[in-house]
Amino acid sequence: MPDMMIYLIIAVVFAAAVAIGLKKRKQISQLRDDGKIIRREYRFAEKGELFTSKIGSYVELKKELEKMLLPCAMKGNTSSKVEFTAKNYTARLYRVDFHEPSGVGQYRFEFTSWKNGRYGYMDETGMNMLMTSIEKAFLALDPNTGVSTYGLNFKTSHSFL
Amino acid sequence: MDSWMYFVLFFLAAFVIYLVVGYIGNKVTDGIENSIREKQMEKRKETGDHDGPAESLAARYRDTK
Repeated sequence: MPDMMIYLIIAVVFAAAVAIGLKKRKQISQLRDDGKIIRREYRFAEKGELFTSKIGSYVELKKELEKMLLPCAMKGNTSSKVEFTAKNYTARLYRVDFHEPSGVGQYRFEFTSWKNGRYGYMDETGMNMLMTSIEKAFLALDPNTGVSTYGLNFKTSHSFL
Repeated sequence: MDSWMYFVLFFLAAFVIYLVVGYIGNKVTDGIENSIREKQMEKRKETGDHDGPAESLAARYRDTK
């Protein structure tokens, strides 16, 4: 009987783990279908993005960002720098260049800090949602937005807890 | 000292050793990882290979569907 109990406990724990895994997978699939996230390369936060877009004005970009349901807090101004803060990551979007006569702006988006979990970023979904929202904001203003990526110079710091 | 005290002391000592070894291990790992990454960044800067090619953002959304 004690052996049966152990097998039963193991089976219940295994079933619970599978159920939680399937639920998480379904949530991610739903977010992808809703267009809130897209498939990204492994360790996508280690690269920044440089957008070249006809945004019209800083105010237009700010309005688009405010329309988005961002998964984090946002502060700052699109005329210089906007900072995003969540529990497990921070990011920034800052102006590189803006040509007022043509309304074409260049912005860089970078994750400035993030926490890693056992299997990847602690809040990979939230980070993906933020990046997708930023990209969609630029696309809404200019469907011909160009983007290029660049490597970020960051440092890792392990916590022993 | 009672035997249970030795038992507790043993586990306390083991826990402290775990913390110390863990802390040192993390610092060593950080140092190695950061050093490798800095060298990679410097190499990319020297070769001018630090930027990816420009692409259409709209195409990225078409390709991910």
